[in-house]
Amino acid sequence: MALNCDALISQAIGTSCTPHPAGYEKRAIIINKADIDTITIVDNVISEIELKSGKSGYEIKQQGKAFMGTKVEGVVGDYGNTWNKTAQFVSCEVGAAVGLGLYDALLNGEFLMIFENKDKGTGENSAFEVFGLETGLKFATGTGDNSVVGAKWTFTLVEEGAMMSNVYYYATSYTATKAAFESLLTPAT
Amino acid sequence: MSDTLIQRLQSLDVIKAMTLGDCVFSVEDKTLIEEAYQSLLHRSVRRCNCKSRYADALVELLSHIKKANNMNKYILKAGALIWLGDDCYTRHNLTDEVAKRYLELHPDATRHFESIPEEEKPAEEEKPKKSKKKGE
Repeated sequence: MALNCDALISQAIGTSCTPHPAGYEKRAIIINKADIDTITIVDNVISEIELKSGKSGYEIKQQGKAFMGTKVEGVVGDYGNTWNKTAQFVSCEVGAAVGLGLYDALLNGEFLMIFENKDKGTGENSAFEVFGLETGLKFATGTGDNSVVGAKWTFTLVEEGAMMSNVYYYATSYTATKAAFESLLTPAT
Repeated sequence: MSDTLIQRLQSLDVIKAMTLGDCVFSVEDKTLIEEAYQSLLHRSVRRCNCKSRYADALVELLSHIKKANNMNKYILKAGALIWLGDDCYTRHNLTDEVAKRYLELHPDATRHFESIPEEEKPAEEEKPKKSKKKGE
């Protein structure tokens, strides 16, 4: 992991004639930080996320405007500025199991989320974006409203004080990264 | 699920049931299929008036048991990615043969694996024991 400690710019902003679609694909993965075994990262690109034996990530599927409200914001601090990363998602699932196994855990846990951008970036190397690597995604707001069709629960998790605006997940190619992404989901059989 | 129950399931005449329907099963057989279905597949046998719902459930159960018996012994950790030449493998497409070849080439890569057959483990574990003795 490398931080830009000197705060010196070394990249320009250009324009592009290729389309850059906004937003996220409809599936993301949420992982308990405690379940992570190893993470290999160079600069701000993760090439490997391995979970502990028997552990898996959990899929979060969205409909409509997927993960609306998910964003990165700069925060001015007294002794240095940082990034706050906000992950937002909704759930229409209700029941004892999801209440205990997901909603209650979200209250006090620390998480990492992997989103798939619609804009895959040059050479598809920015397709997967990771929130929560540095300080962990933690509960900010959660609302259960039984009258909202398709979104009975709305959650906001925030990673505060991050030093890297973007952290990507990329292992050699888009296809290989996608395979690794999918393999995070299955528990041990 | 016990081996005896699996053997009882395997002893049921699935071919005859597929041809003649559920009439070949006794009440006891049907209860066995119901219980096994719930225990192994975590759901109930479908409720319909069709004449072969227990036969279909038995086919599903036998296929599940067969798959479970043929399961790979080498399992990668969730998220782990290994390469053999140009081919990349995750826990979804790894076979025992590929895992063996990979570990022959990269004996230190056992950390990527969640499960390695017991008979393969001693060779890996002997190395650190030997080096400890030398240090003493």
